[in-house]
Amino acid sequence: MTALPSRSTAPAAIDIRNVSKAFAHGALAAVADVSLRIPAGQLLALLGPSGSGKTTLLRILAGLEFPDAGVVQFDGVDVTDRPARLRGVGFVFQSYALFRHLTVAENIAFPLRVRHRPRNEIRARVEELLVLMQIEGLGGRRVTQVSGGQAQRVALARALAPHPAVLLLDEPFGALDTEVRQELREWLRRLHDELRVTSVLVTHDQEEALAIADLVAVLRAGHLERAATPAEIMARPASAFVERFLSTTRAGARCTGTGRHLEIAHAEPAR
Amino acid sequence: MSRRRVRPTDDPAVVRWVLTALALGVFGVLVGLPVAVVVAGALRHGVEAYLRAITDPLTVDALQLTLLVVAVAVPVNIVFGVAAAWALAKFDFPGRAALITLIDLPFAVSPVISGLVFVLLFGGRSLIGPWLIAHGWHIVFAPAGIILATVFVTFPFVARELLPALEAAGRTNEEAALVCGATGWQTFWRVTLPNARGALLAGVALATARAAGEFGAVSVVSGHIRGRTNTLPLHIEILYNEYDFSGALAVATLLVALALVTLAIRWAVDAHAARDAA
Repeated sequence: MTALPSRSTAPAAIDIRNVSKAFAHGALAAVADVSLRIPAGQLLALLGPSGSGKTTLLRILAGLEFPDAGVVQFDGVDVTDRPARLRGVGFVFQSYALFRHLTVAENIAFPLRVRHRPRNEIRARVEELLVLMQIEGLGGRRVTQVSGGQAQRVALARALAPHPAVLLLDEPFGALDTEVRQELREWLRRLHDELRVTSVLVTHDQEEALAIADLVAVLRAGHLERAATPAEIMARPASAFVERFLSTTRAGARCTGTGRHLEIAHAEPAR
Repeated sequence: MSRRRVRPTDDPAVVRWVLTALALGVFGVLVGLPVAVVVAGALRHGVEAYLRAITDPLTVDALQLTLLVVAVAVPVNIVFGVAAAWALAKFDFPGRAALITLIDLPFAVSPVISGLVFVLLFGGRSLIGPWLIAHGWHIVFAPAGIILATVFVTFPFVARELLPALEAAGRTNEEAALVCGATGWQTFWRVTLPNARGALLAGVALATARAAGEFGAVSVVSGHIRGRTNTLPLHIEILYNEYDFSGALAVATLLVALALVTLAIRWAVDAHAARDAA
């Protein structure tokens, strides 16, 4: 049995090379010849309308789907055929997929328990994450008894518990209302600045992608349309599709490109 | 009633009362009354006669055989049922629809035929029966046959209760466990099974009740050898046919008690789960 990485030393760079994946016996191309490089410690947003293949690509990175062609590398190591449990990735599901029969603390401890880590190490790590996620005091609660925003933090804590080299987030704010969404988005960005774990976030919300990510990759019908920093994309969309897809944001927003992240402030909505 | 209570439904009181009364009435006539008759009949000749009836050596033999049948058939069906439900819920394979139908087969077939099948398969005049008997394997008219027939008859309970629960749970939780680093085995024990605990318990309770109470299939394979192949239901029939009505009802209280123990265990586990959730 291959040993599980319980403590990654450093965030990994991700290399996606000519990855293709089709469903329904080749009839439906979900991901078509995508190549993308994500430097270690960066946060990439996979942006695209529904059906553009962004979730499939994320699941390929997680080892939950396997590509028909192409290669996925973490820090130069080919992980294309490595199953999910041996990839050392953290995954935050759109629906959070928390274990309903376990408490908040037990959910966070799960990845460490299945790796048979010592009891006191697990307890210390869970405490640390509860504090980091600002959900101290919720450890003993059932996951059915926390709010959507809190559940999202529990899911993130569980994903981060084994010190993954890569963090994958599937529409992490999709199920939350606008206010909580804004707050969590800001918080996740600060958290990423702190942890610097290589992260890939799937979203259909262009504003979210531009506000939070170091790099934005725009997908359309399985093809990679454009991958660049938010500032570059806003300045030069480079294709009609990207231009059109971003136009809703551009029309309603005022961009102040300061530093790494774009600050996007909405004009007062007319009522 | 001075205080108005706000209710989520606005059905008139009459409707609520009529429906509740109907439910209680049906329950009383179909469940409460028969149980009362069993208990009253069992005690008709006094507590002493009742105790004598249930401590009769033949009754004790029948109780032991019934408990043995339950102790073998239920665990076997837990293993088979969980495996079948899991495979059906999580995988798409050729013959899946056929397998779902086959699981229901014991429900569709008359229990007498289920018993007869084993007589025809393993009996003295069957193809392999004589060989088995020559090698000391007694199946028909022996406890092994009773257990086989009971396993067959109770097979659908666990699988049928579990399948919808596993299907409803979907695959996301298991994917989450895998990404967390869990092996397939760990995922099954720590995530899949706990998620379906309620349904599993319901299936086990039903299978236990049926295994203890099965008459038709067991009757055919048993041969009614008193003290050897008589289960409680068969023993009750024998006493009844001998016009020992209070004896038959006394033994029946043992089956009722067995059912109540099963229910009590289920309540206790449910209550435990509810307290955990609170």
